Amino acid sequence: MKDQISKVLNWLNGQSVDYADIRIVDKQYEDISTNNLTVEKIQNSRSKGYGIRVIFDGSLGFASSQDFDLIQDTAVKALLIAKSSRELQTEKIILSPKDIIVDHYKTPIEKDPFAVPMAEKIQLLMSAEETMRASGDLSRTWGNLNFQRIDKIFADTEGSYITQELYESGGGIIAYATHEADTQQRSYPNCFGGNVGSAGYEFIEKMDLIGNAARIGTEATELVRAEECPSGHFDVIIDSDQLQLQIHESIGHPVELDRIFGSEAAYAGMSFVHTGMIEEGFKYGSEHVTVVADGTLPEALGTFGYDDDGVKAQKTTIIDKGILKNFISSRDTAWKIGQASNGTNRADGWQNIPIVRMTNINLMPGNFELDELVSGVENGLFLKTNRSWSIDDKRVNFQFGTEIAYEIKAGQLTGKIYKNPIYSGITPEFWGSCDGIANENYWRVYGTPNCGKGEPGQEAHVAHGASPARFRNVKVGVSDVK
Amino acid sequence: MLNKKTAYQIIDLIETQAKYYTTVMMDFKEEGLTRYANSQIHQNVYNQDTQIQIHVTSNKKTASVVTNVCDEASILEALRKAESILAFLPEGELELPELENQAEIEHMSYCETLNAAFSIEQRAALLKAGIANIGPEYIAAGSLSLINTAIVWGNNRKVRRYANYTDVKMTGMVMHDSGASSYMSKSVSNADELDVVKELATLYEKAQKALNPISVEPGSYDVILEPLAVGELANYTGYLGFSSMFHQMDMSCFSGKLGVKCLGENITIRDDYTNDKTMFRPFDFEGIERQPLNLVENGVIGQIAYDQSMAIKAGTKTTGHSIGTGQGGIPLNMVMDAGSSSMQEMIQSTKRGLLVTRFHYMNIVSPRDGVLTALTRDGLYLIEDGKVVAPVYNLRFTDSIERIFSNVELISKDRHAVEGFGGNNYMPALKVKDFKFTGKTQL
Repeated sequence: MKDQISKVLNWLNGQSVDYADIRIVDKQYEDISTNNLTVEKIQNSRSKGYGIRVIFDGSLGFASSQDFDLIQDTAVKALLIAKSSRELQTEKIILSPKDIIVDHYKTPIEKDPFAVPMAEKIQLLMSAEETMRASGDLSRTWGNLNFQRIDKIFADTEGSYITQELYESGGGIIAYATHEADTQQRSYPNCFGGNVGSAGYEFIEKMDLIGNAARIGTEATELVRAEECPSGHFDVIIDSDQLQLQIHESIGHPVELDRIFGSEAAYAGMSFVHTGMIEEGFKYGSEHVTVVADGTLPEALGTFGYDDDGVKAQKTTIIDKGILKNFISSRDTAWKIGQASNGTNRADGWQNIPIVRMTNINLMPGNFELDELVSGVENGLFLKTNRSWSIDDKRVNFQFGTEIAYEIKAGQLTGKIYKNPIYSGITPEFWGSCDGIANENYWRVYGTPNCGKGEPGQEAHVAHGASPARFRNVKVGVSDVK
Repeated sequence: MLNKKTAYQIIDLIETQAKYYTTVMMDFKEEGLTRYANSQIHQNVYNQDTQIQIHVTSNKKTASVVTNVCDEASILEALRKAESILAFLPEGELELPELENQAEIEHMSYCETLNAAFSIEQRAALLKAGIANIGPEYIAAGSLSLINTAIVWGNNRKVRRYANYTDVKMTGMVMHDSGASSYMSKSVSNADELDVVKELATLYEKAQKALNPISVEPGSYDVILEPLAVGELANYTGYLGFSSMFHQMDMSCFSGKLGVKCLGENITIRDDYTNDKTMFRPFDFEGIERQPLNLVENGVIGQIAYDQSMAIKAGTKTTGHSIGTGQGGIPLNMVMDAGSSSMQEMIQSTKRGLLVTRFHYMNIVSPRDGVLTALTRDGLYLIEDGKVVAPVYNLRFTDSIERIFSNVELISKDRHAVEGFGGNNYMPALKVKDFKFTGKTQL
């Protein structure tokens, strides 16, 4: 394969390209779902192919194929596309400098998830379902485990040659309860399938699905009989399993440098953030809010060795004590602001070009105990586990729904729960209203394996770490709509 | 293009080696997509891929393997893998029926003309010509793509299905330096139906009308929803209201309401892949011939979409709406009956209201209540005394499917093909009274 890669890159060099790279990706995926104590889905998939990216006279072309006999033809096509792009190119693409790397990276894992017997995986889900069912009056129980291995080769005309062996493991359970004309759910460890990490099967074992099954079964049973969440303005404490998506939508996406430059203008949208805000010292949030982009965090889903520019994964401070300090970038976008890439240019599979994607965008922990945060709330809510999300194309006006809200009165959790909570706000105002974050003992990382962006559509695997945080005077509910 | 002969040879190979009842779904896609932003091409890509899904069934158990490694040894390795997985499975809940003795289904609409008219070079040339007419304070963004698709299904009971088609998709946005913008989206299978230069000129004209927006407060407004906005509502209505999975889970907004008049009498919606404005997928992921569905007839909730599993659970027959992911069947090609109004008549009949171009980031707030939320995008306008008087900063709506489609006062006679979750929907514009806006933004 190395000879084939060299041959193609040498040929492209001979065509006077500015730059070219080739990525060969072989992805294996295993997906197991159980539903009401039966195996709903068991699927193994494999996708293997390569993509060739060419910059010719400042213009981009990319072609990809599953057919390795066509590798030279695909290179020709990528060059033809780049030349065609020159027809409508007013600003040439220039890549910021990077180190030439020859290296191998492997996700640190303790247990190869593909070596764990299928029967053991199915039994785990079945046991979790049985425990949920024993705990409450449930209409449906569901569980999922999923595992991924990617073998990737990256080589470019600058001399880098990087191989990576990347693993992911994920899983989760959901309890559904139906009462009268309503159905509610509680999920563990998070919504929409659970949690996913860059890790081996030990990640699943640490989740303790069975140990948490009874709690969510009971909560679902109680939730479906609970009152509707009241509307109004409340002080809220948002748990990390909801805050992770709040970070994703209202910090992670807005600081993507390609989005800021308009690459996604007609599709995913742009950003209220602009590059001048760094110099202005834009106040993104309160002094409690410090956010880093960290592609090196162990076990987190947005962790890898090198991005698809061949730039090493790294840690970058995005917001420091509330002040915007940086963006997440690729080589081409970083060059426009006179920086080196901070290593976030990633592609979904072999068949897509890399674009700026979040890594692990983390809200750093504060100094509070959770009890201290609660004690500072006279009349409020503790919101947990995302259920829905929506934000405008500039990432300013957001609205989230969570699975459950716990009432706080006079500085204490009363034990009362509410269903259908939603809250909304304006990004900088919301983060500006944060007046406390729980300490590192409460800090959790949640993977988001379905971050959509780009055309053709790409899904990135990213993650967010957070501790529960308190926000003042947040709009909850939409009082006149049912 | 994956041709029928090659595809059937692969299925024949699997058939000769299969130990159990085995079905094969093949999905070929060749896409060239030219993406533009800041009035220049910034991403220009090509991809070709064939995926083979092998499903092996025995004793109420099914295992699946998907691969795109298409040499003979790898395909057979995938088959053996699927067969070996069966051994680990406990007995399942359902015995899925074997499809036998079915007449071949075949549909060919691969189009050489579209491939020539929207080649790599032509896409760049068309965009260049269109963008040349846009003023200096404006930028254009969007994408123009050419897609060749083939879908193939077969099993080891000699059943075979094959369909191919070509379509071209264009999205476009013209935006002023101030952020005022316009938007279009079109998906066509006939070269005459897309004039890229003209589309960009229209967008430029519309963007100029979006300058200097005013702010209005959230609240109830009469709204005129253009077909793009209606299409987005229809997508979620189809998913939440007419998927048998949501009904089986008792989580649909129309759970327990089949046969009940829930929407306005003027609302009739069919799911109809045979409509030439949608997309001709004559069979589903389970090889079943798709059936047109009367989803809503004069406001009464009618048929819902089934795949085989959900149909067995419900004691009925599949409607051929499997999308292969356990969603229970989803209507993908919804066609709403036209009304008799023109857009101009809708505007003239409005004392005070808002004209909505499209929505952004729609999502389900509460599935059982059918509550959706989204923001307006790329053109929101205030209507007063029958005239469009000003562009407006974007607003967020939060409202329920049932309320929205019960409050439709006027329906346009013109309809447009708008992109859905899998193919096109064919939607009119709607005038809806008392539409709930719950938030605003200054962008």
